[in-house]
Amino acid sequence: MRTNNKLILVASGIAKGVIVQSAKQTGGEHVDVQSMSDMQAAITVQDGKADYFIGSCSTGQGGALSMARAILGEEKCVLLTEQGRMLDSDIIHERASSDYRAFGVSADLAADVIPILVRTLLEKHQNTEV
Amino acid sequence: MKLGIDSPIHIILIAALAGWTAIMVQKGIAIFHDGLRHKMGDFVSGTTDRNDLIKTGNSLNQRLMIWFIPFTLATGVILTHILLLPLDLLSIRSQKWWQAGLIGIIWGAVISVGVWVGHDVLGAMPINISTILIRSFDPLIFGMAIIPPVAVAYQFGRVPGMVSLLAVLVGYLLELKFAVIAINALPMVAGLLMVAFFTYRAEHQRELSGEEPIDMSFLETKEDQVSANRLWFVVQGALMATVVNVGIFSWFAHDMAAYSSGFQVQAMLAAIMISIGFLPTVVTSTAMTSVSQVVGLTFVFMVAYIAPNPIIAAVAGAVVMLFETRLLRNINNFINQAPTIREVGDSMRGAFDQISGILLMAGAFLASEKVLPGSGGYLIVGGIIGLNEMTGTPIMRMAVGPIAVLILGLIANIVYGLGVI
Repeated sequence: MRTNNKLILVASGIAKGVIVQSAKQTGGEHVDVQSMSDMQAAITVQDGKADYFIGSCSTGQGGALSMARAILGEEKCVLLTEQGRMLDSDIIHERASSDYRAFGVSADLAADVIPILVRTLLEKHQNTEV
Repeated sequence: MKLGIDSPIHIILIAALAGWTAIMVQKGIAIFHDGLRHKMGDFVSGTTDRNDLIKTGNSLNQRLMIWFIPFTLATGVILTHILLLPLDLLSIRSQKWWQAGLIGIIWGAVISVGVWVGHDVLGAMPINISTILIRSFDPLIFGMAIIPPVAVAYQFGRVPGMVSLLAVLVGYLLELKFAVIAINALPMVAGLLMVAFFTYRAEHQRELSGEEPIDMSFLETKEDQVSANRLWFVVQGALMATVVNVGIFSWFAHDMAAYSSGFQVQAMLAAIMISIGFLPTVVTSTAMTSVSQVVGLTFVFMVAYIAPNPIIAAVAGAVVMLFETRLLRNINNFINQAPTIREVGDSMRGAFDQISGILLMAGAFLASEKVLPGSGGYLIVGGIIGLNEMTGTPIMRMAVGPIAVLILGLIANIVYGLGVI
């Protein structure tokens, strides 16, 4: 997983294409991001083959994290949009820097949230490098 | 032509559906909000208590229900989210099943009356907002056939997407020339066949490459608990199919718009299209938690739209939901051994979400053209949509079109009423 030092992300849900595009744009070659079904994505993270799960759905609440919660556990999951609105970038930054492994966003806001998320995850990732 | 809720019998039917649903939700047999199912599963298995369930329910986004109101008021047809999202919250709060049932009946009656009155009010205004809204659904009705090709593009790439769009166009031409099935039907059939084709192809390639589907057997599944609840679903299927067939209840704007314009076959195809999007997650979350979706595995809608009368619809709905509960394990296994299906579901929902927004926004502009002199309607509709886009889309994209039209209609009535214009 750390062999080439890339941050490995899996994207799922109805905005998976947007998430992949946005993550690639933000992280460039430091990020390896793939889209898959939420079940597969959650299992991939659990197996340690990916670092983080990013899910999406219409409201950012319903389906975005349901599979991640089931497989990774609730304490590892957090939403980055609330009630269909974007959170302050400080809050996003804080949540991304904590111990969460799965993030949920509302589809309409994915393009705005992902850059902040990915930048923070990259910082965190680089800080844990030996 | 379906005119929506306009009789006391309709109110009784909706109240009955709401009451029955409320009891099922209170007992943890089913829930509508997909985001709440996991927590409900915990509640049913005893890992968490009702208060926790209520708290989680409160934190969920309820705005969806509000954004869909213009759709319902335009046609007098109740959309699932408007009736069932709040019903979820009301039902989980009830300590006793009969309390939930009572609250459900009252809620159903209140919503029915509200929609009846609201629909009539919109239609009675000097500038008939209902008519304008319905006109704004035209691009959605005649354009929704592009959603499956876009889903194909989203999942499999631009070239498959273009091939699928071509198939849709061929379907359109054939329908025009030979009147094969029904208006708006053949293009959608073509699109859905393309989805099936590319899914099959991808799954076949996956098998050839020797890639094994991820082993899901570590996840405990509870299909038997769902099957034990099947009698509840027999009644639910009958009730739901009846109200859909009568024309007072619809799943999303798409099937509603098609059905209330008299396009029965297209409504069924729209339901199939939406089912493709939701089936994987509904099946999986139902099997994993033992808590079903209030609308079953979503097959009830397609049979309800195609049934020739409410009696046949009721019987068909009951049978369909019965089979859903018995075949849950089979369907779940099928989806698990063909992972592409799950991904296609996501792509279909994604295309559905975004393209519907575009079609409805287009419709909003088209319908608003003549509302104010000098196409002034564009300023209001365009203004609302533009502000929404650039300030974090507080209004869901799928809903902003009709909302803009509704606001325009209200402003137009005020402005004409005051004699300003």
